[in-house]
Amino acid sequence: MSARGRPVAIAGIGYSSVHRGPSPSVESLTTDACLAAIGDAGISARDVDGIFEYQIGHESPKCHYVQRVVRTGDLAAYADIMGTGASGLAAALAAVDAVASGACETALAFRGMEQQAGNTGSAVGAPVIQAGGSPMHDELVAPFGMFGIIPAMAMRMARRQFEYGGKPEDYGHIALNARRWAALNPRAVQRQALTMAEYLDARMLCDPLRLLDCDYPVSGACAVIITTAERARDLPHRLVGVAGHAQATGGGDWVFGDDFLYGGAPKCAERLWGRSGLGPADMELAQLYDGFTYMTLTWIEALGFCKFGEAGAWLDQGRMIGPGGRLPLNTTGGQLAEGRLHGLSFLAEAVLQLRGGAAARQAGDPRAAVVAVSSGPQCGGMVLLRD
Amino acid sequence: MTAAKPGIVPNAANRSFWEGAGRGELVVLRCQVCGFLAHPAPDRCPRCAARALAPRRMSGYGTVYSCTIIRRAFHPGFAAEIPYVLAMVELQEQAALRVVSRVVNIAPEAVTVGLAVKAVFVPEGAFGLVLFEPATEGAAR
Repeated sequence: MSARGRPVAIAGIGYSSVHRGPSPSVESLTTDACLAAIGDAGISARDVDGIFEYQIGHESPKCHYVQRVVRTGDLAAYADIMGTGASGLAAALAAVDAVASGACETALAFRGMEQQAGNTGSAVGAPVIQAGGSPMHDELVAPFGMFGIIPAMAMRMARRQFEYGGKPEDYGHIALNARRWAALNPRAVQRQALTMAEYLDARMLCDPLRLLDCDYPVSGACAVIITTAERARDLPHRLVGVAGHAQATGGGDWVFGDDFLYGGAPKCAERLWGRSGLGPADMELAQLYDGFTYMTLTWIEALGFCKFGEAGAWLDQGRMIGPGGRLPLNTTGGQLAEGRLHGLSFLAEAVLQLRGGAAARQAGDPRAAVVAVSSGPQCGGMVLLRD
Repeated sequence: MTAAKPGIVPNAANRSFWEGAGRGELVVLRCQVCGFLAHPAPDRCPRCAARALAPRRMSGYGTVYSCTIIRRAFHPGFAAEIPYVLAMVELQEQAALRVVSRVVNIAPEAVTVGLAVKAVFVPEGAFGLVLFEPATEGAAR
């Protein structure tokens, strides 16, 4: 059962095409994904009475735009969620709450991405002054030459090395795993195999963080349809229910927070397992955020698949998480290899796998899956259970 | 031609930090009610919520909590300076009291987590930057 209120299911998933370089507009991609999700759910757009979306800042269309273009019904519940949320999954988490509470009956959640020009993590001008400071404290760190999240991730890796040890290959196994799965996913943008030697030789951006520790920016969109389990039983697909969902913020800070290494992830995991009544041993599939390989390692540990600091050994040279492994992980290739659809694609893929519909990359016949996204003060997750 | 670096734009939470550095002092905010040291500090004390934060000079000594070598310029204004070491320095006055800064006067590869450092200052107009260098006698220079 869900944490509170009416039991909720993920009834539809949809993607746009995914692009490197020139692409249709983000409005067009977003509309494609939303229509695909509605079609996949077997409902009419008029049945949608809630829309939730997440964006960093005006880079993708908002709820009202999608309402007009997709021609949904009047919206009983909606929210345009700001960039401090739990990446694209934040939209689905809000949709689950809205449906569970009865604020709306059938909600659309989407994330539209437009690939940024230039290098990810770069800055050109002065930091934008935000009331209360930016999430990364740009105003306090930029004068020293710190920009964006990449150096903050590198410093987490260096601190983790100091506290727990481990090897660069621990991160490398996450990168290699992404390519193994992506080879089976026609939508993925990075499908060629990657060797550990190639990973280790990748350009160092900020020691010890390499280029191949970073996800791949793309243009594309992903959407899901969330409705009551009762309604979903009458729809075409096998029922995939939300057994638990949670967010957590830890110390509420990317740079100066109390738990520099894990942020809100341990608390998010505690809530997920507590609310779902399930635990890591029950999971047959995991979709764990890989904006950076570091984030995936820390989710593995925070969710209790192994002890803190031990993910490197647990990965078993990648055998644990690859095709045929005990815990198939990021079966689209994740953001590292499918491309950065930003959080929501982990949910869509979990649903597809639980239905048994993932074609060449279908990972057995999983019944329970965990999805966890972002990191630091923006953690969110869901536990899904197929009927 | 080199692009301009982003300048120091002080706000209520950090003005005393930048002004202090301009005088050659490492300044954080201290709660006059409970004594908690905060950096950065919001409107009031993060521990007791008293609206009683006042600038306080620190010794300038600390240890590297974490660090990274910036090998490509994330901002064109810093292109001429790579590689350089960004670090979080934990100040000796209070556990988990950290500032983001640079470690200088040492080879980048020689900076490690746990390195003892002390503050050095670079004036920038009315303000300044607090940087750090190795604190021990025999450290590379």
